[in-house]
This record gives sequence, C-alpha cells and structure tokens, in this order.
Amino acid sequence: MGSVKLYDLSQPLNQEVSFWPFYPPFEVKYIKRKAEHGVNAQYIMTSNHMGTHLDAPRHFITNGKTIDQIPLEWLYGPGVIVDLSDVLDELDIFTPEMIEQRVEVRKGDILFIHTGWHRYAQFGETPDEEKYLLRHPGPHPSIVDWLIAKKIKIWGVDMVSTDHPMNLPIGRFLGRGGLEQWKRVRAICERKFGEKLTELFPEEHYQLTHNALFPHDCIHVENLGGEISRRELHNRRLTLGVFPWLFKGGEAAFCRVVAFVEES
Amino acid sequence: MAIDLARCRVLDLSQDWDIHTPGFALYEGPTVKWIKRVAFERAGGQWISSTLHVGTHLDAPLHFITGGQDIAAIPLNKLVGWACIVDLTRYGIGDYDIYGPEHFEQWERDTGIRIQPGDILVIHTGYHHYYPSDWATDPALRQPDETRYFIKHPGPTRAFADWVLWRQISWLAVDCASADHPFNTVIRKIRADLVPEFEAKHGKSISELLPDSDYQVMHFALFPHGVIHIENAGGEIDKVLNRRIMVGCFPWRFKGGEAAFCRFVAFVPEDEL
Repeated sequence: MGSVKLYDLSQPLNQEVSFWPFYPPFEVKYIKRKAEHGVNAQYIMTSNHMGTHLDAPRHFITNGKTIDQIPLEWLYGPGVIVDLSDVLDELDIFTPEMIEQRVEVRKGDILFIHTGWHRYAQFGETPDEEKYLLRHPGPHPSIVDWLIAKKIKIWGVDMVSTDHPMNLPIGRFLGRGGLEQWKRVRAICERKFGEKLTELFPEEHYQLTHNALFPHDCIHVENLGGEISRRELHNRRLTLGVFPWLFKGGEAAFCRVVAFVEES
Repeated sequence: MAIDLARCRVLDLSQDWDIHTPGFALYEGPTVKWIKRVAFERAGGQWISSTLHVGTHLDAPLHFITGGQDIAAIPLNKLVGWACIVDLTRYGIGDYDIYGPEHFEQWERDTGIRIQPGDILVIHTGYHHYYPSDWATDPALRQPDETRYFIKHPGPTRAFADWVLWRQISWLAVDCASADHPFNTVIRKIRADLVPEFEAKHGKSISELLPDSDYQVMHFALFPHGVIHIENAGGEIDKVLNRRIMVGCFPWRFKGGEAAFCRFVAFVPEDEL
C-alpha cells in the first residue's frame, strides 16, 4: 500500500475459539465438497460475540444503532494504541490517568488498549482460556466520563470484554450453584481491593462500559489481537481501521481491525 | 506512490447483508434470530447462520482447491492496494453480454490509465443496481431485480482469465453475482429455460460461446494462482468509476474459511472526492 505498512490487529476465528459465557459457540460445517459438488462451501452458525468483533449500540439499547448505521468515518481515522501491558496483572484496574501518562489522546480518536491479555486467547502465544476469560483486567469507572469527554466513538481492548470481570457475569454469577467461578473471581478481587471493592464495583455498574457508553454511541471492539503487541505501534499516533461486514440490523459483527502506519 | 492517510476519506463499496440478501444459486441465505433480549438478560444478542456466498464476500482459494489457502491465510498486504475501477457500462455491455481483454485495453486507451502488474481490478457492470441489498444508489436509479442480477449479468470467457494472469492482476472484484458469466456456472443448468434467450442474443450456441472445458473458468483457472475475487461489490462504487485508487478488502479473520463476508472500501483523498 504505497509507503504504508499494515498491521493486523485481529484474532483468528474458528470453532476452536472460546465463546462468551451464556452465548452459543462458532460452528462451521461443509455443505458442499469438491468431489461431489465441484466446489467447497461452508455453512456457519454463531453468535456475534466471538473473535474480534464490534459491538453496536443495539446490543444494549432498544432501537440503538445497528452495525450498518455506524458511519465509516467513525471506523477509520486517527488514533492510538496505548500499551499498559507492563503494569497490568490478573483482575487489575486501569485508569484514564494511566493512559494519558503514556500517550496523548485527542478528541475523536480511535483508542485501543493493549493489556497483553490477547496472548492467553485460543490462538495467542500462551493460550489459557480461564485466565483469558475469567481473570482479565478492566477499566476504572472513571473511564466512562473520560471517554465521553474525549468524544471517542470507537475504542477497543485485546481482552474478551471492555468491562472488568467484577462488572460482568464472571464476577457476579457465573457458575452459581455449580462450578462457582464467580466466587473465586470475587475472592481474588477482595484480596486485591479490600474495602474499596464495593466502591469500585457498585451493583449498578453491571456491564458499565456497555450500559453507560452505548447511549452516547461510544462503542467498542473486543478480542483485539494479532500484531497488537508490536512495540512500534504503541503510544504514538497512527491510523486505525475497524471493518465489520455490512450487517444490516446487526447488534454486533465480526470485524477485521487494521493499523495503518506511514513509513518514514 | 505514497498516499496521505490523514487526508483520506473512506467510501463503502459493500452491499447490505441481512435476511433479505440472496445467496448464490443453491446457497442458503442468512438466518438471524434474537437469542437474548435486554429486558430479560440485560444484553441483546443475535445468532446467525448462513452460507458464506451471500452479500459482499471474498472467495478464498479453498472454495475450489482441496487444501487451498483459507481466508485467514490471505495476507493483509494483498488485500489492500491500488485498484483500477473499470466501468464496462460505457461500452454498452448489458444482459447476457460477454466482456474480454479488448474492453479493458480500450478502457486503458480511453482513460489514459494503465492497469499495472500487481493491481487489483474492480469490474463495474452496473448490475449492482439490481441487487436487492443495494443501499447507496440514488433510489430513483435503484431497480431491485434478482433474476436480472443473478441470471443476466455480463461475464467473461477464458480469454479474459488468461489476460488477467498475463497482466498480473492481484485479485478482482465484481459488482454482480459472479466473476464468471452466469451461463458458465450452475445457473446454466438450473435456468436452462433461458439458454435460448442467451444464444439468441449472441447468434451462437452456448457450447461455442462457453465450452464445457471452460466451466467456471474465473474460479478454476485463477484460484490456483491466488487470483481470487470479491463478488456482490457495490455500495458507493459509482463515485469512483474510471479511476486508479486505493482499496481494501476486509474479511473477518476466518481460520479455515473457504470464503467470508467482507467490508470492501475505497480510500480516497478528500480533494479527489
């Protein structure tokens, strides 16, 4: 692409990829084969919240924008990938201040947060599904007002959710009456945050970054990955693109995410 | 040639994808259903099922080649690049017509634009106006007609496939149902009732026009060379005709996929819009 270098920030997606709790998996089967039909053709069955995908407001808002109603101008443009991977451990919290200490975020930017967590995804360097799904970091609640003030429309994380597990089924009810994963997640967070736990994760903050931001058309990409760990992409200005297929009426869609870097 | 990304606007060359979008002949279209609702589960979630040859999609070599490259294996560098957008409607090409190298070489002479080795070739037949999921066309020009779209669009013969290889085209995109002529696909059998109409238009027999040995030549002859294609392109394509511009094809990163829905866009400097 002329003097522009492309970086793929998407995770591979197939039937092996872990799926979000309570959502059906990605299934694929062949319905035509070369020998019989002269062609290979597949049929897929899936929820939208797998692999690298963009959530549309409709995911949480009745009559919110669907994938096809998100302007391409929001999906392509200037932005930054902030690297917080060296300071984030299991179930840690990151704040807007931590982001701004590392890179200047301008109004209307596309903002991706590199936590390093994508390495634990199915096709990451060191796959660990429990760590990837149950014990990823998450944002401090102040990120909501900060993103709105920054007029950010599209942000994204290299994790399964933009919310902290304590604001998700994972830390609240996953496995209740069964494997009780939520209890173990909560116990780690109690040790980590002590008395501040209920202040950091009040009851009403359930899926905070979804419920509080989607009404403002501030939406996000989950499960970023691919080359997002490349150091030359971090903490600098570049051009980012998020490309879901044109799913009319879609509450979310798989997408290809790309960093475009002009080579000097 | 460099491109100033900061000055680029993105135009959408993709068609809508929903339950009304028709799949290719004998391919099931999309099913979309809500499986979670905000009122009950505090989040809304859909479940989809579909074949992959629906709406704007990219075929991978695996579609026709056992063990061929899948969608995730196609490098991003190949999917973004310079493209010549050739408008065939200026040569009066229409229902059942056959286009060939001569039209593209004429286009080079007429526009002064040289189709360079490694370029992407986007073929505008104008038939995207007939696609039921066309959205960008002026409503006055939109003429949804799926029979015309699938059965009557123009297409090439082996001469064009050979020319594409000779000119080292990287990959192709078409604003119609198939990169092949409809009567060079399974449509020849399932709409055999229209073969006489096709033959009458050309004054030749179908076996002379499209010999059996050339069946689906744009797939069979080109995929082994990695020359793949987008089908059902459209969207705002009318805004970029007869130009050489930067385009990008973005399928989701489907590991093992023989095809994938994709977003197809043009990156155009603001002052050239």
